[in-house]
Amino acid sequence: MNEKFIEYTESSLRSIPYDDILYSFEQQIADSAAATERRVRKAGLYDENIIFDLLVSEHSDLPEKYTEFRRAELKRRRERRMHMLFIKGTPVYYLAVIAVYLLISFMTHAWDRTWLAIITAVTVWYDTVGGWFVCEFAAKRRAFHVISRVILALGVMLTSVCVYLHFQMLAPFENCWVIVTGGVILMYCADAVFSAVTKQRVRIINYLIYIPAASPMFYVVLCGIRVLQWSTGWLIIIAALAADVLIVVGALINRRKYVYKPEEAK
Amino acid sequence: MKKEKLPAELWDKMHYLFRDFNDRMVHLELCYDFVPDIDILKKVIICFFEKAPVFHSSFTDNRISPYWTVHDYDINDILTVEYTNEPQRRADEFLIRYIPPESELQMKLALFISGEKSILCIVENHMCMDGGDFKYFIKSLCSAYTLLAEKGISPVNLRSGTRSFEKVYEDYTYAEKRMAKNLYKNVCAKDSHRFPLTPASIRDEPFIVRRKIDENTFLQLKAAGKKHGATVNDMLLAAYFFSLYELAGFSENESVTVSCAVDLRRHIRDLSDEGMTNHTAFMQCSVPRRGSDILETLKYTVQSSEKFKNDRFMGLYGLPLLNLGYSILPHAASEEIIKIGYSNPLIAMSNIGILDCKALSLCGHEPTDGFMTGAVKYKPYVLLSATTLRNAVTLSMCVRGNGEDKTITEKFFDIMEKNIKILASS
Repeated sequence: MNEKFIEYTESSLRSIPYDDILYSFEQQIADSAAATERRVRKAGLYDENIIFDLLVSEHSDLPEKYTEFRRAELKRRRERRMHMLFIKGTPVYYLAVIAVYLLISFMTHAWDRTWLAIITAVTVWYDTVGGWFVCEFAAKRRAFHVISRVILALGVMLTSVCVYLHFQMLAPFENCWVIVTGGVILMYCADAVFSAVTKQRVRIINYLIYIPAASPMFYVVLCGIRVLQWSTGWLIIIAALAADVLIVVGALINRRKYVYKPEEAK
Repeated sequence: MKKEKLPAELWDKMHYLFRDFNDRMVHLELCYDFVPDIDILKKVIICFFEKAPVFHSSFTDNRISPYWTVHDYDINDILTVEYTNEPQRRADEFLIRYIPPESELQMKLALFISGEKSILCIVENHMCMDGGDFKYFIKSLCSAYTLLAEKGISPVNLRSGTRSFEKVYEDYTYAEKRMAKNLYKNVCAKDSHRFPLTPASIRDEPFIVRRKIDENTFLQLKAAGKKHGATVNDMLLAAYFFSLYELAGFSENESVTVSCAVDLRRHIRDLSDEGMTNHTAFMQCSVPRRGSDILETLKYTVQSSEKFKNDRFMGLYGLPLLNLGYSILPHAASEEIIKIGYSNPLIAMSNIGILDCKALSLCGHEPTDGFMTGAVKYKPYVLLSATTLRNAVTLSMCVRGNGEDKTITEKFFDIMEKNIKILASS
C-alpha cells in the first residue's frame, strides 16, 4: 500500500473524531486504493508519484465523502439493530403472548373468546415488522417495490380480518362481513397511496383499475351497513367509471400544461 | 475477489441494440511528424483507463438488467506499438478491427512508427462513449501526455462521474423538465431511400473510404455558406443530398431524408461531473425534392435544419419513450418491444466537427493529418462522417461490403467532391 496515500488519508480526516465508523471508512478507502494500485501495477504502471496522484484524484474530498459514509453507516446499523430486534424479539414476544393468553384463559375460562388475543398479537406483529420492511424495500430500487406492495396488501387484509373477528366475537352487528370487503377496498387504497408516495411510473393506470374494481365492494359495504339502498347503490359503480373519466381528463389537462409546442415557443 | 460492476446506461443498451445495423466501433487516426515516448503514452493511457473504468469492462447482456464488469488489464493488450515501412496500410488494417462488447477491453490503441513519423490509431466501442466524448478524451490524452513529458504532471485530468442520459435534463427548470420528459415521440426515420450498395453477403468485409476536401475548398465553402446563410454542416448536407440523388438515381421530385447526429451536450451547462458516455441523438433532415440546382437543394436543407435549430428541445424527442421502454420491463422484453418501434436510418450523417490541432499536439508537435469516423455500417445502412483538421474536411464512410461497394462509395465521394466544389464557388 502506498504509504504516502495513507498519510494523505489520515491528514485529510484528522479533524474528525476517531471512532469505529471513521476506521471503517479509512479501511474502505485503503482497500479501494489498494485494489486500484494492484490493478495499475499489473497493467504496467510503476511510477510511485503518478500512482499516488491517481489515488488522490480518485479519493478527493474525503471529509465530504466521510459525511455521506457516516450517514449511510448509521442507517445501516439502525437497520441491523431492528433486524436483530425482530429476530430475537419475535420468539420472546410470542412466548409472552402465549403466556398471557393461557393466563387469562385459565383465569376467566372464556376459551371461546380469548383466542382473539393470539390473532391480535399476530396482526400487531405482522403490521410492525411488515411496516418496517415496506419502508425498507420502498427505499431500494424499483424492482424491490413489488415486495413492499405485497407485504402492504397482506397487512391490510390481515388487519381487516382481525377487526372482523373482533366484531363478530365481541360486538356482532348485521352484515358484519362487510369489514372484510372494506379491507379489500383499503388494500387498493393502500397500494394507490404507496404508488403515489414512491412516484411509481404510470401509476395512473393503477388508479384507473382500482377505482372501478373497488366500486362494487364499496357498493356492497355501503348497502350492507344500510347507508345506501341496494336498489340505488349500484350508481356507485357508474360514479366510479365517471371518476375514471375525470381522472383521465384531469391528467390530460395537466399534461397539456407541459406539452411543448415548438411553433408557440418561436 | 468480487469484481466491480457498473450499470448499463440507456445509451449503452441502445447501442447494443444497434448490433444488427453496425459494428459499434468509433475510429480515430492522427498522423504526427514525431514519435511519441511510448512509456509516457502508456502511463497516460493507464491513468485514463482508471478514470473511466468502462473502458476495461465487459458487457453482460443480462435478460433482466445488463451490466458492465470491470476487469484487470495489461497495457500491452491495449496499446500496440509497431515499427513498419507501411504505416498507413497497417493503420487502415487496425482501424477496421472489431471489439466485441463481451471482451475485457473496450478500447484499443496502436502506434505505427516509420522513421520520424507516426500514426496514432484508436478504436473504441460506441457503447462506452460517442464522438463528442471521444474528442474530449483524445484532447485530454494529448494534453496529459504533454504535461507529463514536459512538466512531470500526473495524467489524472479526465472527467469522471455519471454516465446517465438524464444529465441532459439537469439544467432545466421544473416546467422545462416536465415538457422535455413528455416528448414521447417516435423519431425514427421513415424514408425508404437507400444508398445504392450491392446486397449483403457473408463474404463482405469492413472497409473505410475517405476523401479529403482541401483547405482552400473548405474555406471557400465556409465563405459561400455565410453568403447563403448556411452553416458548414448545411453545406455538407446539401452536397450529400444532391450527390445521393445523382448517385442513386432518385427521381428529382422525390423527398429524401437524411438522419443527422445531434450532440445533446448542448443541453448540459456543466460537464465537469460527467463520465465518458453517449449523448447523441438523431434528427431527420429532409428535402421535399432535389431542386433544379444544388443551391435550391441548399435552400431546402437550410429550411429543414433551421426548424431543428429553433427547437429548444432539439434531439430530446424520443428519449422518454426509450426510457419508458427500457424501465418498465426486463431488458430482454424491452429490447424486443423497442425493436418493433425502432427503424434504423438507411442514410445518415454525423458531422463530428473540428479536431483542434493545437489541442491534439504532443509536446508541441501538431498532427499533420487525421480523422475520426463512426461505426462500420452493415448494408443497406450508411453513415457519412465528417471531421475538420487544419481547415481540411475528411469525409469518410465505413461499410461492410465488397469490392463493388468500395467502387460505389469512391464514386459517391467523387460526386460529393464535385458538388462541394460547385457549392464552394457559388
